[in-house]
Amino acid sequence: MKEISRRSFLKTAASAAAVSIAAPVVLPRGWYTLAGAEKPGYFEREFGISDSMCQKVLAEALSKGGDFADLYFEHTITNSLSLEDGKVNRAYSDVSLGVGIRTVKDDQVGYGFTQEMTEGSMLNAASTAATIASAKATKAAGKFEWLKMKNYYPLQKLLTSVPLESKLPLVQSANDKCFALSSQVIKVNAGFYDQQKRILVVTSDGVKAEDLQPRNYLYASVTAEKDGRRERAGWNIGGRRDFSFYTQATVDEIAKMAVDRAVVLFEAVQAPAGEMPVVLGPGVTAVLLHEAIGHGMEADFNRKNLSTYSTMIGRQVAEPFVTIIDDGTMPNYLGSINVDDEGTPGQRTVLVDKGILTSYMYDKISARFYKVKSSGNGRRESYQHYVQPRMRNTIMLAGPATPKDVIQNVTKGIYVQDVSNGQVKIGEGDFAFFVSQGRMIENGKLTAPIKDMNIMGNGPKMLQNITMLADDFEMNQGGSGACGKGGQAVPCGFGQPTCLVKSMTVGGVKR
Amino acid sequence: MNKEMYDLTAWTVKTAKSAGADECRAGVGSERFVNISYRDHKPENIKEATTKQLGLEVFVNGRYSVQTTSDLRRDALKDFITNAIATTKLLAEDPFRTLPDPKYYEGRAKVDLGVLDPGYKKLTPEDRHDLVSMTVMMNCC
Repeated sequence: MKEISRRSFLKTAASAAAVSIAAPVVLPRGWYTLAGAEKPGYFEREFGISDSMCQKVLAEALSKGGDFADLYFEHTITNSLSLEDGKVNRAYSDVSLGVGIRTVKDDQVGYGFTQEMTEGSMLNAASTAATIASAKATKAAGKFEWLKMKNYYPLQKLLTSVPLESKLPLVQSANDKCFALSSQVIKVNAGFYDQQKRILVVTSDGVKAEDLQPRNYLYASVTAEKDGRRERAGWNIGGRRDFSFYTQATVDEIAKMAVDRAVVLFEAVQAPAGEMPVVLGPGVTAVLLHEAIGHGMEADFNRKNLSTYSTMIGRQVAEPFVTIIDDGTMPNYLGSINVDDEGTPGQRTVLVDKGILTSYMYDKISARFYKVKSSGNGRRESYQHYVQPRMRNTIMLAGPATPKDVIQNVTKGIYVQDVSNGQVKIGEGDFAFFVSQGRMIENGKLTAPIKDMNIMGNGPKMLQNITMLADDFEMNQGGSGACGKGGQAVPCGFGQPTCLVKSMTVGGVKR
Repeated sequence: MNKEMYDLTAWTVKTAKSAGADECRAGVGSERFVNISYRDHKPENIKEATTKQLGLEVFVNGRYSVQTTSDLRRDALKDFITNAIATTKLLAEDPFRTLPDPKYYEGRAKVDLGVLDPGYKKLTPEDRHDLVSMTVMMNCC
């Protein structure tokens, strides 16, 4: 089997944060959802994209007998602002506009995209995409109906309408707070990133869906120095948030987490090496759940027999207290989507129910293969990319134990608070991750902080080896994480409670 | 040079200067990309891309920034340029960064090196499929 190596959660300037899972959003009086406030038809108003134009392009995309086709229009505005040691050292804007045209024949894809929003350019792209098939033309729907969908990320106002002068004080405050928290801090990078992505999906089976997907985060990254030794750490908070989410409390939390995590490393010792119990802390360590387990449950890897889980539907893959869900409906989290990138409404998919593998994550192509409905996991980085089954917010639900019970069950092991760079073989689920924050566990108690070590294992085996789950579920609250697959990065969320894995390989020092 | 693209860059430079830029440099690039891949003797992925983007570098009060856009509507570009200049004004000063002295690029040769093979333009999607099919045939038993 060919190895698929990958960097996890690349492009992150700082580690993701984790706080308790939020209840569904209750909007304050006077708020409205932009999706509800604006009449649908943004792309027609701004770029003249009419139904008749879409019909023509879809007809061309199906001119050689494709099974179905879709159009994905996108208009994304990205802004970023960053400070280094109190000075604005980077401010950047990017506007991305284009349309992707996809023709599908069985499980094969013909794809074209263009940044020229003219009928001629779209027809050219469609005619190339059409050649994935070689038969008589297929008919597209005669008319389109707007998809009814909920809004999981309501906004009070567009981030693009918030002036830079309003964003800058937040960043300056994060910078100042980091320096104020410790005299050991010698350098601070702080910044604010926001993106406003508008999409329109039009499908040959007559669905039309428009969405406005915000994404933003505030971050701080610090370097601390003590006795000539330097340590670095960072933190960020964000998601699909309204600008009012970012308050002084957010700034304070980011600064405290970044500074505390850098300074604690001066006390860190190297972990022992070998097989031992590993306790994964709540929240951000669910990156392992995402990388080493979640990817194996994406339907394309199973359809192509690349995943360990390809023959496991209906079978036990974990202890009965383990339930794993991929949820696109969690308000304001990074992986939430009102609609996926091929026109299926955002939804919640139970992957492992009380230890039994019940579902994969499907896009339309894999759903057709398995003769099920798409689970709304068809996602893409942009109009320049075709759809793949991708995770949204992947979570493991809480268990019955307390975090204290879980740690007390370990005589000698390690407690992992956060992981960074990692590598996964998606097929087999073999992984290695660098532990950036953690502690020793000795005789059932958390002791010295640890650093400079890796944890290695196999995702499906790790899932089988989970022997305890605590009742302290936390959701990753970061906004900077993007998962890479097949050359595409999409924002994903993840969360879990404190979790005991009875045995894992720790790459520390031999004692 | 494509006249439409040349006119757009010239207009962008003029608009940026009248909006407050001391100096600026604009470039429009257009690119076409085609990829066809087969699996088990059948086409699995076909991808064609046409890109057209504008990059803008602005120098304002000793400050410098770079911004990009593929929304080339003139009205949208005006907003984009205004925003680019406002953004640049927030940046820390970088007095050593300027456009190069024109003496360094005066008198450059305008010779077409002929690196563009016009044959690519004539390739149809079907020609490309034939090429890939032949490669598959030659590498399989």
